[in-house]
Amino acid sequence: MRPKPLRWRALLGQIAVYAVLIAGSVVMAFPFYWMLSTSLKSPQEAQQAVPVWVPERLKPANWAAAARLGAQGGSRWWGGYRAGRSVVLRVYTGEKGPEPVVTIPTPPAAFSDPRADNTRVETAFKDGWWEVTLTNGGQESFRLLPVRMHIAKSYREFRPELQPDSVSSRGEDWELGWSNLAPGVLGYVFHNFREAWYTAPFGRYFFNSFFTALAQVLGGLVIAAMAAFALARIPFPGKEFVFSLIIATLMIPGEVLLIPNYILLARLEWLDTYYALIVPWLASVFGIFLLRQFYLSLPQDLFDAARIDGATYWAQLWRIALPLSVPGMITYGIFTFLGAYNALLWPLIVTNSPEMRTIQLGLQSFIGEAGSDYGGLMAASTLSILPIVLGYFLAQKQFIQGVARSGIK
Amino acid sequence: MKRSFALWLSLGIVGLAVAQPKAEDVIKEQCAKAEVVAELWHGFTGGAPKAALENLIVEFNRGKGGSACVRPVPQGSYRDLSTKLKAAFAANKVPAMAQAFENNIALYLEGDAVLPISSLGLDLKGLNPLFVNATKIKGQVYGVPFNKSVQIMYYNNDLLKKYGAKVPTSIDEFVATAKRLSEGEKTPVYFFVPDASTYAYWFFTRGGNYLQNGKLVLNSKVGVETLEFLVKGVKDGWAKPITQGFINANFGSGTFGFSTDTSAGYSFYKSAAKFDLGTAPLPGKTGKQPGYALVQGTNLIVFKQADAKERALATEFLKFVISPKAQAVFGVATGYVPVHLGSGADATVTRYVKENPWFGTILTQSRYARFEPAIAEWEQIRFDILGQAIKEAVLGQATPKAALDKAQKQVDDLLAGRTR
Repeated sequence: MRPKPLRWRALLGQIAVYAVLIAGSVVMAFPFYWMLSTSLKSPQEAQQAVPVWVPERLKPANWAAAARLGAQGGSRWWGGYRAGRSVVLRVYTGEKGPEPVVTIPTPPAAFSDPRADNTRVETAFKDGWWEVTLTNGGQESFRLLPVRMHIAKSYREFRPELQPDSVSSRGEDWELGWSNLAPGVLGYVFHNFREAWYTAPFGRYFFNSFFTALAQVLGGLVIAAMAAFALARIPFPGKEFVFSLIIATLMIPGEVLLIPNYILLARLEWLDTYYALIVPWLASVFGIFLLRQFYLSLPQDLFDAARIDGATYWAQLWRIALPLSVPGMITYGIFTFLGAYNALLWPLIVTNSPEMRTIQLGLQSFIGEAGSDYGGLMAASTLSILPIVLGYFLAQKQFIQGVARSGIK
Repeated sequence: MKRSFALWLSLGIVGLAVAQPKAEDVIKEQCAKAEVVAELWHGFTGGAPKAALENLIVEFNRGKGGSACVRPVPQGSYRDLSTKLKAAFAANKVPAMAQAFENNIALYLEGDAVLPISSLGLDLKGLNPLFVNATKIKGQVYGVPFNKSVQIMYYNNDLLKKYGAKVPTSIDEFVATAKRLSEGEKTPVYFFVPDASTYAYWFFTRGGNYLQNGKLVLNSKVGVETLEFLVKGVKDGWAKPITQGFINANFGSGTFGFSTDTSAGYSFYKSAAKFDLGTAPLPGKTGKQPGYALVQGTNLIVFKQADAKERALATEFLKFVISPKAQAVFGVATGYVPVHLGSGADATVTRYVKENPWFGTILTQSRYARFEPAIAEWEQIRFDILGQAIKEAVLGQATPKAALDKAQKQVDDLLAGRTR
């Protein structure tokens, strides 16, 4: 029988290990939590230096009101402000004090604003609450109904049916702001996601990012596999020299090549095309080096045996080297894919039209010179990393299987 | 997970069905059959400025009836824009128009790439002469001022009321008020970003000038005193340096009382502030007139490579952009200063100022403003040399004198071509 103290010590050790692991994973997960929660915040919540842990939009108490107001303006799920509809907001005050003043803020830089111009606002006091009715008297329907309300500070307390997105002091009044008073449940919770989606053509951006990244991976694999095989397994004069030349290009920083590459592409008339996004990145020194090392680690006997059976170099590459280097190719694929998917400067330089731009450039739409729309930015970031996170889990499984399949430890 | 994502996506698409056409799409349609297309490369990444510019262009193109159009092309931030233009010069693929800072113009002129405005036959009468003169290089005006911001003073009206304090109009009053409020709140109330912009306001207002007899001087007596003043403010407990992010994302990190920040940030200040946000002209050297704000923002330039038709279209567009009405709409939307002095009398502005006094502050302040030197290397100097020196001094890593002396040495080396 073991002495008792030892078991205690083992247990304490385990606890310590778990505590460290948990602390580590919290640190790792925190930025993700922050991104997700900020993507659901109103601008005022997102801009607070003191963290808001649970955004208003995640509180179920607000969902019922969001659904009811949304149904009045359009639909229970996505809300709206359709022609002819009235949206009625109650503000519970208990007593009848000064009448609240309700306005519809005009969007920036509009030469005219049919939404504000055609809205009829009525306020009436019922038993214990103010009832604000906004009626869309025009022919046009709108996605959002932004509303601003001034209510006197002399009210001891007041509670609007739907929690406002911002509350700020304005002289003798409180100014309450709703970015959308008729949101519907989904329109309320996913407000930033929907607005982010409208800000830029993200569908096209997604396609471009995926297409260029996949093309780079596939094209790059073909080139890297052939080059690496030649450098690893085919004897020819000056092989070492060629290899060192290829490796030497790693020493040239990418920024130095930016302008020469740009000029080259301009002369080829390839600017603002998929060629410009894909072709310059097809030959990857990293890929060649990685696969060459992989091929070198394969036993020579395999290739000797194949040669005795009459296999050409092509057959040796296709039937022996490639199947045995799946993990290497996956590693290369992941790195290339991530590199291409996350690229910012190159796509920015070689493309002009929105049709050719990539997801990372889309994220720039939320960053300004004097402030940022953090909610929109985080919503778009969440959308942009979603496929990567999903892909990572899939690739991780592939990776482990790949190692097992190759039989190389 | 996949299924719920698909459901979410399909709900999303239903939600998207009730959409208004976006300015970007309208412009695309306007340009679809146009014979003449003039591209305008700009550095507005998003938000109100981009939307406002696109709306202006939609309005302009509408008047062309599909035969000609201006097409805006966003090229990332201002720094990305100038990088891209450098690459475009090398490849001979320059747009008809672009946004450019004064120092960018100086740089592009080294390659003789910019058309003088006089050659376009454009009348700049009525524009703020301060802005126009800033684009004058060797007697020629090369840019049309477009999106110009000035610094203004933002303040917390609730806090001033709590202490019965008046809005300060002179530096002495400002310091006294900031001290009193900071002592009461036991935390510094003047928020500032230790960079070349904040510094410029204090430097200009104390009578500083970067150029002395044609030489760029960073470590002048006024310069050192200005930096010492800021450093002392931090030591005395009334000034709080903000080193992470925008001031408008840092209100909660203490008690905000004042800042001297760009007018282009107004909408972000307003959305973040829970307190009663007030604006006023910057405190002056004396209470008699406001302090000097730093003018930031760009001009529109036309490149020499544009052919005759593009030039004509660009000229028409610039004429439209600087009209009082267009400037009024653009300014009100973005917080930029209307560059046309007549905009102040436009109904859009007068009506807006009545409800939004902050815009009146901007109009007043724009008459008291200064520029940084228009030399080709300024972008690098203001961020990497002067900005760095200010940060080091404020964070206590060097004395103001030592930091500025070092900066001066770096600038001398840079301008003499000894370093890059």
